[in-house]
Amino acid sequence: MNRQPPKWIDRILEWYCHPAYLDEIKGDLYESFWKWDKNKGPFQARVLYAINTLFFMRMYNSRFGEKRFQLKTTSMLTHLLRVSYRNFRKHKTHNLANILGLTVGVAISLIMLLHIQQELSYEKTYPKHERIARVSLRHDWAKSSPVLAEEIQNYFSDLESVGRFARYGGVNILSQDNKKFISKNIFQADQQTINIFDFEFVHGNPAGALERPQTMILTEKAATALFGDQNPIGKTIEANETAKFEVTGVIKDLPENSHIKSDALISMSTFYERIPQNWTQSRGWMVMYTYVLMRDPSDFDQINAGLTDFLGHYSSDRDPEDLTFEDRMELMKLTDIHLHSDKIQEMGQNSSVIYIYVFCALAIIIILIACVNFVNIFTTLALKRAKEVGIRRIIGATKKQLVIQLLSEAILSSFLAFTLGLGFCLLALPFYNTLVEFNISPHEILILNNLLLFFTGAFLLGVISGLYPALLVTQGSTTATLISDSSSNTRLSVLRKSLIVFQFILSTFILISTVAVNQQMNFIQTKDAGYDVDKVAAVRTYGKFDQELNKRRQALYGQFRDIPGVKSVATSSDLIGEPLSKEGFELITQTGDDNPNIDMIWVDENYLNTMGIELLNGRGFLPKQDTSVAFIVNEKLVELWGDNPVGEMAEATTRGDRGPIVGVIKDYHYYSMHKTVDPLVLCYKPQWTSNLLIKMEGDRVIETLTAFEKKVKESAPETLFHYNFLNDQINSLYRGEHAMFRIFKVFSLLALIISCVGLLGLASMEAQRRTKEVGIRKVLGASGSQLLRLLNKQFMFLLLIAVVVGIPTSYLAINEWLSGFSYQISLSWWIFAGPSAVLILLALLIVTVHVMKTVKANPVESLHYE
Amino acid sequence: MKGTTIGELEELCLLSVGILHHDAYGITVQTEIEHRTNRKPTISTIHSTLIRLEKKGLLQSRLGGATEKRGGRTKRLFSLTAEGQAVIEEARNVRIAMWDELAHLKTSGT
Repeated sequence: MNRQPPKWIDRILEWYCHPAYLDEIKGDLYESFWKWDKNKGPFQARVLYAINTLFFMRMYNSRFGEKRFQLKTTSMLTHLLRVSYRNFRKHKTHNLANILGLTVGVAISLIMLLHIQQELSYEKTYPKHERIARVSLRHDWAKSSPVLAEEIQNYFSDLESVGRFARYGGVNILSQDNKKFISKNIFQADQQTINIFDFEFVHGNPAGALERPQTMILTEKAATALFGDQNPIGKTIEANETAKFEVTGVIKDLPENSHIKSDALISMSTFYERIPQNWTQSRGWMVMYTYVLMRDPSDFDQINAGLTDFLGHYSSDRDPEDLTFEDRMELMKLTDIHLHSDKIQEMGQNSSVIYIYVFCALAIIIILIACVNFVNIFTTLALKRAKEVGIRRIIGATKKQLVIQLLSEAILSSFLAFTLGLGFCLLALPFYNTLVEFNISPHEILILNNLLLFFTGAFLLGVISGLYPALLVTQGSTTATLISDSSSNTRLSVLRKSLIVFQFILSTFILISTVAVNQQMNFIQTKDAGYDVDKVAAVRTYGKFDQELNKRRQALYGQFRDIPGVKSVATSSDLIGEPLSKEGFELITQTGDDNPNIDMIWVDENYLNTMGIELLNGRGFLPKQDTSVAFIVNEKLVELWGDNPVGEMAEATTRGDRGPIVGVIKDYHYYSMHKTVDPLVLCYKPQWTSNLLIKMEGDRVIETLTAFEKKVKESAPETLFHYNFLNDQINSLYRGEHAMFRIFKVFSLLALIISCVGLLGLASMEAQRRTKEVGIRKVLGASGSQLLRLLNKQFMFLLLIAVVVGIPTSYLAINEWLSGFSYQISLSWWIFAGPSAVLILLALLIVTVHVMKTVKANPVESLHYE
Repeated sequence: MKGTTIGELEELCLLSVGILHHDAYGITVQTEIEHRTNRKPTISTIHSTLIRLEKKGLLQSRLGGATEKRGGRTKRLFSLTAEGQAVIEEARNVRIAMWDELAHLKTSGT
């Protein structure tokens, strides 16, 4: 038992109490403590001690008592605060605009920084992330062959372990007792992955969890959906009505900031049981994501370099001369995958480092604009106080005091703005998360170090914006400051003007970029993709229903077509945007080893008309004629081969199917628009398909689907029915861009507003400064329009400079961005002219509205202004 | 003498200091008052009252008498000044005079 009075409470007293009384008070309290300890027990004594100590915080013994406030500097400080406040009130609009502008700028930049932070945090949750890397084919596939893992482990001694993931099915439905869990992301994984990625087990034993066939580890998300709060270890789950799995473990959900998204893991031995041996031994079948765990992060370069030698060993059955560049492998750091990997068949849509650059640029531009504004307006406001400064100097203020006065005002405003900005950022974050479909948490900012950095920034900005006007105002003789109007000081005008120009260069840049991005996004969305999937729904076919469909396909099709609203029904192996299998394909007459693999999709006879794909040549599939296998190829393949192959016999060599080529279709975008269309083969083999495509007409789409479901359940009562509209699926391919674009639009608008606030401030300041001049000119007979032109002239000149510099800069940037797309808009002149014109007009409007008051004023009033 | 009117707690403190003679500091004064009146003013209240009385010139103090029980910290030992003594005597006289009056009223009442 602690028999001492609590120490922490002493510290409060020490902080508060005047030293003259501290010792005796502590003594009294200490003495009382022992008395309480004896009479009431140790616990109560401590409580009483604390309470009584706090009671000692009184006026008479305060360290902060009256005496301190009598110090000279303190009274000076209150005086300065009062003057600051008066000044603020005098130029309320300008000061408010100034602080709010900076506030918005700070808030936006903070949000962007958080976003970047989130992107950079990918994979960092895995404790061994620095030592993990993925082996993949250079420039080509993200996946690799099933045999690679073992070979690579044997070849390199520096590898601690190797683990693989292989996707299980497309969309999966896990079910247990009527409860369902639908997931697109279920992987088969090696036991080793548990150690490599340190999956955190909630239930079950990590050792051997993924050893036996037909076993499965669930994430908490899946486990909760299927079993609620129960412990599911040892229970059985059915997947897609075809396979049964025993649950061997429950792990924590995989981190959101990881490219590996999996709701459940199935043992890799399941894969080996399911797939014939000649496949699992194939070196050409790219199906696994292979991850290696190095002993030390610094081994990376050595292993990466060693892959060339390894390739010779790995492909020893092939002539080394035959090994093309495409065959080479590369190691990619786990942490690089999210931002740098864009290979065929990635685990999911990765982000791109370009976004990070764009975001950084945007954040920097916006905060720059805001800061420039702040410095600019603050300087102008400070210079208006030259007279005040003059008077102060006459009364006897030292230069140092004057500098401190202006500096403290600047720092105060900047602190205010930064604090408000932080608050805005925290408030806006939830909205931002909805906007970009992201999940950013604000706790990164609230770390002490970052806060310190943040407020150091505020302090520096305050110093920078306060120092210049302070030095300017306080230099020179006192009388000069009093007499001359220093706001017309030419040197200053140059600074202010260049700041304004700079700001508008940035605004021009952002505005033009936004318009260009808008154009490109619209272009991609409206470009003819070569198919028409309006009102097409896709249903995965599983288990019983799949069997039924294979048994009596035509009869079922007939039943489906009888449902009102159904136009046609087809099946296919893959949907738009899903990774297709690359298979060997060649004409019988041109056999050889060097034919490239070609994207292949398995369909039935209705695929073309259901998807609205145009047939150019030959005919579609006919179930009566094409009794075994038949092929249709796209234009790109015809281009590759050089002549029309319709009517010739061809072979899908990977699986050994032979049949005639019966037609040629127009190219259609079976992947997203980011990629160019490659050669494609449609293979007629309805039994290999797993998606039912339903083309509907009319407005009662949902009713049609319900009727459809009923029909399906008639033929296979227990089956699971899960549909998806193809349009939604296709839109999700562009989700990254859409989010980016929305961010861009919102933030460019805000940047523009901030710049305009700055211009507004300066314009009205300028108008006020020239009140007398305008009055005199009016007396002398100048017309209103002449005066407007006079006041507008200099701002227009500045804007023109900004536009002239801004256009080429944005041209370069946009070109760079567009080069990432296979299909680009051509940059027409109006993309640049339009935003520039809008900007100039907007500025003209702002300036005019503000100087109007001065121009309209009665010269008598304006002449005796001041 | 004008302006040195004192409150009840102040009076009690002054009296206690007088009674305790050479050992009057926060704790002892508090204990004294507690014993005599059965009231329990907090130690901080006592301390602030004593300091206030010192500022009024009714008490004087010196530092000293650190003991083990206090963790080796000094006490502020108070004693009455001549003025302080005069004030409590004054107070007593006022009360006695008033009681005399009251006794007269009482006798006449019965």
